[in-house]
Amino acid sequence: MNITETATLLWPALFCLSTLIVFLLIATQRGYSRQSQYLGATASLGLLILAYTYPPAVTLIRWGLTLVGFAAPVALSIVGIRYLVDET
Amino acid sequence: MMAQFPLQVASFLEVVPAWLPVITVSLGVCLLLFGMGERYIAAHLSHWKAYTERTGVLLAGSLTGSISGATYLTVRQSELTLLFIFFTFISGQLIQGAVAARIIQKIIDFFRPTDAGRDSDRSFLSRGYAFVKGKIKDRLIIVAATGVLSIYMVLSILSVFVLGSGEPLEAIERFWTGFLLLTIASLVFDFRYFAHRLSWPAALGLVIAASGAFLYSPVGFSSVTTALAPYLDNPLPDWMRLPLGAFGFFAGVVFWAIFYLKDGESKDL
Repeated sequence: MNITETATLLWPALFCLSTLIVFLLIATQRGYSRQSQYLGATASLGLLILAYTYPPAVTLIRWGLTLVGFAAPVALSIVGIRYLVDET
Repeated sequence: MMAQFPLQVASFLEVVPAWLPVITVSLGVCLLLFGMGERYIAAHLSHWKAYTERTGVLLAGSLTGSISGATYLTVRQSELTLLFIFFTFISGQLIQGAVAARIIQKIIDFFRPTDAGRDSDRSFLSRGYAFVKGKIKDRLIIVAATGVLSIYMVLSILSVFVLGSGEPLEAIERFWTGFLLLTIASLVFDFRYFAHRLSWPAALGLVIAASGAFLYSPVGFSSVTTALAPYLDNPLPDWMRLPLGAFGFFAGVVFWAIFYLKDGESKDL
């Protein structure tokens, strides 16, 4: 199993995990009913199944995450410089 | 045997594989993303009912993992490798510029007379002596490490002219290698001051990203493009890397200046 295959399997799973966590955090904070909690959990699981069975469906999400990935080095190096000035 | 040692270390670092800077910067950025994301989530959601520290770590970790995985896939599928390398290159140059400006500013601060009267009648020599004495007492380990690294750097540069080819470019590369090691040493040392504020994965990421940034030798970027040539239809022209590198370096200095001046203003007020 090479890196590309691992990444293909891993990123939808991790993304759905994070959406699930965010949803459950919001649901308990806002006091959603049990029914809608199940609905949200099923929705993120459905997204995961969709990502595995029909990959083109999540291309948009992948590109969105890629934009974040491209912006991250430059943005974080600016933050890093900030800390370099403040802390050393 | 001992005389050959600095030469050997330097020649090992000289043949840094082309993919290493990109991987190192990416790894550092991932750690920074994780550490700062976790801090951000904790700052905004920690008063929520279901939030626990473990949830925050899991959320930040899965988000970082999905971002890096998706980016990797898109880069591979759409052949954006060169563009991604440009982004890490620019971010590396930003850090390099800021670190260089920071070091120059520290040197200027040292020579500039401080508050009027108190130090002005003392010579640079006695001030330097007091400065060094204070530093040694305060930071014995980093002084020792810096001393060893500086000696190594000088020996390595000398060896280029005494034993080696005598090419100035090679000496510059070795100077840069020494500069890299010094930066990592001081960053690692300062780690303990900012790690508790920045969270340790982010601080570690900063150290790794900075060291990755210094792996981009100022004279050897073309090795990256040579290694990539099989994957690219049109390899990067060499004339492009210099303005790009200079731009990134200069932008780093500018960012440093912005933060430093803002910091100074807020301290004055």
